[in-house]
Amino acid sequence: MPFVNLESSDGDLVKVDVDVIKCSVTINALIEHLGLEDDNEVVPLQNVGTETLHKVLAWAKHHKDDLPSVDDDEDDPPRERRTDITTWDANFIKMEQIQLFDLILAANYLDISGLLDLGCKIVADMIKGKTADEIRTMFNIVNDLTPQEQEQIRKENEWCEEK
Amino acid sequence: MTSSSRSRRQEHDTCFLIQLPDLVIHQILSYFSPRTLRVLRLTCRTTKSWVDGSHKVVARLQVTFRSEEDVNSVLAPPPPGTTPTRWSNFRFLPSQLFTRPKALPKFVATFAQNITAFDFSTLTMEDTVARNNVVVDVLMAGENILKIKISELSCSRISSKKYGELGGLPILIRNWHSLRSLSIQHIICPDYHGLDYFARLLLEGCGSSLEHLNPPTVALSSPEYLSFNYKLYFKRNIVTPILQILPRRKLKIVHVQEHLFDGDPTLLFHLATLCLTSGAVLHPETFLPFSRSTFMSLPPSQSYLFHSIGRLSGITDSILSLALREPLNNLHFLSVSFRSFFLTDEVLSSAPTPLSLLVPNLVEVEIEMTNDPPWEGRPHNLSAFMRALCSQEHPSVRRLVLTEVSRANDTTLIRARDVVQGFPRLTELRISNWDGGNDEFSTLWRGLPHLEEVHLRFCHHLGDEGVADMVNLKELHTLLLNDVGPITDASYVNVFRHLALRSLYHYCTTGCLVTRKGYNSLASPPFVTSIRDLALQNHDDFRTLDKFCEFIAQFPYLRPPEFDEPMRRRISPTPALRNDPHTYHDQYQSCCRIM
Repeated sequence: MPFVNLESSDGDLVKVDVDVIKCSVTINALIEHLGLEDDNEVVPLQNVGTETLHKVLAWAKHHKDDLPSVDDDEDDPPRERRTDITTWDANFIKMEQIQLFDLILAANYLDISGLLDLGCKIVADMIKGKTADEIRTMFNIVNDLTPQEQEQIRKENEWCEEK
Repeated sequence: MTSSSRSRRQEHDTCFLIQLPDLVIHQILSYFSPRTLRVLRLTCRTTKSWVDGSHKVVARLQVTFRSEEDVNSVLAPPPPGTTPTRWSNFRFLPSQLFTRPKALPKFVATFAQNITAFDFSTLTMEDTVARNNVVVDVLMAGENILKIKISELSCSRISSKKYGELGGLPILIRNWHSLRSLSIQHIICPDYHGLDYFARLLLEGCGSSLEHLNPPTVALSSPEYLSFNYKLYFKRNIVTPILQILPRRKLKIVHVQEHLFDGDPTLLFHLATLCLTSGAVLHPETFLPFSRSTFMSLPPSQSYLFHSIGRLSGITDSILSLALREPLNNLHFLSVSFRSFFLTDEVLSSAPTPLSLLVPNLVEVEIEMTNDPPWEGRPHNLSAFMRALCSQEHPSVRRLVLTEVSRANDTTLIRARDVVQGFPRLTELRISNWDGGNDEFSTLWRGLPHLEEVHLRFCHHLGDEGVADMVNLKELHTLLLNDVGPITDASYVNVFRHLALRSLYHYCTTGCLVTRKGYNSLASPPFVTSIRDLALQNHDDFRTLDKFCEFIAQFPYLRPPEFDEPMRRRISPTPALRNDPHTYHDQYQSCCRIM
C-alpha cells in the first residue's frame, strides 16, 4: 500500500496512507506534480502545523470511504444551507477556537471540501442566534461602526425581509 | 499548541474570524439566515462588507419598501466615510407606491447599476399608473434587471400615449434584453385583454434572453368568458403566437408547457399542428416535449384546426405525419377544419388524400374558402381540390360546413353532385355564400336523405323550387335560412309544415315574402307540437301585441325566451313591442305559461 511523508510547517514528518489523504486535492496535486514514487519522498506542507495535520489526518481517516460530495450549482438561487453534523464530527470538532480556525485554514489550503464544510458549519453555528455584541465578544471583534452608522444599518435592516 | 498557532495568536489577538480567506467567509455566510446576516451587518465594518459585498448573500437579503419614506431613507446620504449599501434585490409591497412619483425615479437612478431583481407583491396597472408612467419609467432605468416577479398583476384595459396599452409594460420588457426570469403568479383582468397582454410580453419582450417563465393563473371577471377553460390560461389564439416564437427564440417555456398541457393533451396537438401549418420555419425541437404516446392518447371527441394548409410544401397528411412521425392509422379525428388555405399545383398534382384515408372515422369536415390574394401569384384552384376531395366517398363524415364559398370567385367551386358523392351520410350541412341554384339544392336534398340539420346563409339563388325537395328529409329537425332567395308561403305550406321541425329560423334582411298564412300553416297538425324554437322575420302580421301573442299561442312547446338570451330575439317583435321590451317579455312569458 503506498504511503507518503507529509512535512508539517513545524518540520515534523508524518507518514500517511495515500488512500487516506486522497480527499485533499492539494496533496493529490503535489504528489502528481512531484512525481513521488518512493515511500521516502516528502511532501512539504508549509501552511499546516503538526497538531493541525494530525487532526486533519484523523478526520481524513474516518471519512476515507465517504462518497465525494457534489458541489452546489453556481447557478442555483442563493439560499440558506443546511448545517447537519454527524455525532463523530461533532465530537471531533470540539476544540479551542484557535485550533478550529487553524483547522479551517488547513482544510482550505489542502482543499478538503468535507472538512472545510464542517469547520464553516461550526463557525456558522457559533454565530447563529447571537447578537452583534455577543458575536464581537466571542471573536474579539472591535466595533468600528460609529453610532450614526449603526443607526443607518438598523434602519436598513428593517427593510430586509427573509425570502 | 503549535508554534505557528502561537505566533498567529500573538500577532492577531483580536480576531481570527475576520482573518479567514474570502472563500471561507463566503462559505460560512451561506449557512446564515437573513436574520443572522442582518446581525452581521451590525457587528463591524468588515462583517458588514461581507454581507453587502457578496451578491449571493445580498440576494438573500430582500429589501422591502412599505412606503415612500422607506425609499427616501435609502436615498439619504450615507454616513461620512462610508460607502452606500449595494442593495440589488427589491420588493415593493404596496402598489400605491407607484402612484406617488417622487422618490422612485430618483431611487432607480441612484441604484440602477445595482438593481438585479424586482418583486412586486401587487402591481396594479390601473389608469392612474399608466397616466403617470411611474412604474414604467422606473423600471426602464433598471438596465441590469435580470429577474422580475409579480405576485399579482391587476390590469384593466388602459392606454397611455407614451407607452401604449396596458401601461407600457410590453414596451418596457421589449427593451429588457437581459431579463432571464419573469414570473407573474396571478393576473386579474376584466377580459382577455390581460391574457393577450401576457402573450405580448412574450412576443414583444424578452424572448431572446428569457430562461424562466412562469405563466400566471387567471381570474376573469367578465361573465362573457365564463366558459373559458382556465386550465389553458390563454385563449387558444393567444397561445399560438407564443408557440410560434419558440423555435425562433429558443425560449425555454418549461412551465408554460407543463401548465398549458396539463389535463388537456388535445391542446398540445392543436398547438403542434398550428405550429406546423403556420408557415414558419419550425425548429425540430419544438416537438420534443410532445411524445407520440401523448398524441395517440388524444380523445376522439376533439376537433383539430389546420390553418393555412398549402403554405407548406406538403399536403395535409404529410403535415400530420411530420407531427406524428408515423402514419395516422391509429389517430381518430372527429373533426377537421380547413381555413383560409391555398393549395399549390404541386400539392394537387399528388391528389389530395381522401379524408377517409387521412383520418379514419372522421365525422366533421369544415372548409372555409378565401378570396385572399393568391399565394405567390398562383391562381386559386379550390374547385380542383373540392372535386378531388369528393372523388371518393367519406361515409363516416356526418357534418359538412362550407363557408365563404362565393368569395373565392369560383362559382363551380361546389357542385352538389360532388358533395352527394363524397359525403352521402351527412346529417348536418351548413353552406354560406353559395351561388348554387334551385337544381343544385334539389340534388342535395335528394342525395342526402339523412340530413337532420341544415343551415343556409346568403344563398341568394335558393327559392321555393329549391326548397320543395326538402319535404323528403324525414329526419330534418333544424332548419336555418338566413338571407336566402325568395321563399314564399308555398314553402311553408307545402314543405316546412310537413317536416318534424324542432327549430326553424328564417331571417331575411331584404324583405320577407311570407305572409301570416304561411306562418300559421306551421301551427297545423301534425308537427306543431315538435316546434321548440321559432325565429321568424318581423312581419306586418305581428304588428300588434295581440296578434303576436295569438300567433305564439299556437305552438304549445315553444321554449320560453329566458331559456337563453339570444333566443329572446328569435321571434322578432314589432317596432312597438321592441320599444317596450318589458311588455314584450312579459307578454311572451304569459303566452308560454298559458300554453
